[in-house]
Amino acid sequence: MPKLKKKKARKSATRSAADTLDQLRPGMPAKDSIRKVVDFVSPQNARYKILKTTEMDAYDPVPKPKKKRS
Amino acid sequence: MSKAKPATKKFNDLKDLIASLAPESTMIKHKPKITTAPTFGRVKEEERNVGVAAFLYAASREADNDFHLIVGRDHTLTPEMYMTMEVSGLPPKGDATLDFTDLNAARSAFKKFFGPKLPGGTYDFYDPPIPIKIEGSLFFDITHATGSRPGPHSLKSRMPVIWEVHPLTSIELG
Repeated sequence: MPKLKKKKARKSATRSAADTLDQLRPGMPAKDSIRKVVDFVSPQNARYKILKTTEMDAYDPVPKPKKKRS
Repeated sequence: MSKAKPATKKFNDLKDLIASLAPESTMIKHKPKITTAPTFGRVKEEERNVGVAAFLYAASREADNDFHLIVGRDHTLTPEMYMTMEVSGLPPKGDATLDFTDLNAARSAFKKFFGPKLPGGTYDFYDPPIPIKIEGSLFFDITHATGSRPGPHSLKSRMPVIWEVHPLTSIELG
């Protein structure tokens, strides 16, 4: 089914982006918490990767998922 | 929380800033007792403004509209060490006692740097960590003296204090 294929492609893209990261560098998040990797260029033109994770403060409420168009 | 009054003491290493903080046990047994009441002001150990050059490792936006910044030492230094610093939500503009101008400057600088890529309710991590220079007031987060400690799961074992720099009054990123 086309929908299922799209989802799989997106997941594997996130996985391969996460695979290229130096997980051994101090300060990195747990690999299995990374849900998306986004390129970011700062106003000074320095390049960073933003690792969007599922990590949060333990006492915070779980954020509600954004509504998606059906 | 409004800012402290004294002049800013600057540190070149986050480790030295953390070493300068009163021990948690002292703060928990503090006299007068530190409470979570919104009207409770700063105790003398919190009447300090500090500045430090370090690195931004992670950030999230809290439900109260504050941004939590996880700031750490250069990753090549040992021991690894991080501390929470907060970009406050803004107080009412008309109340001069609430330091709107400084808080707004720090918040605007943070928002301008990230543009549309601000963090949301879960932590964003930055690779490589982003150089940051901050100034702000010290705050002992008594709310988390018991129970779960603040910070993202991957880093909080290397966050030795529940002290925060809160609010931030100046931020330079990059």
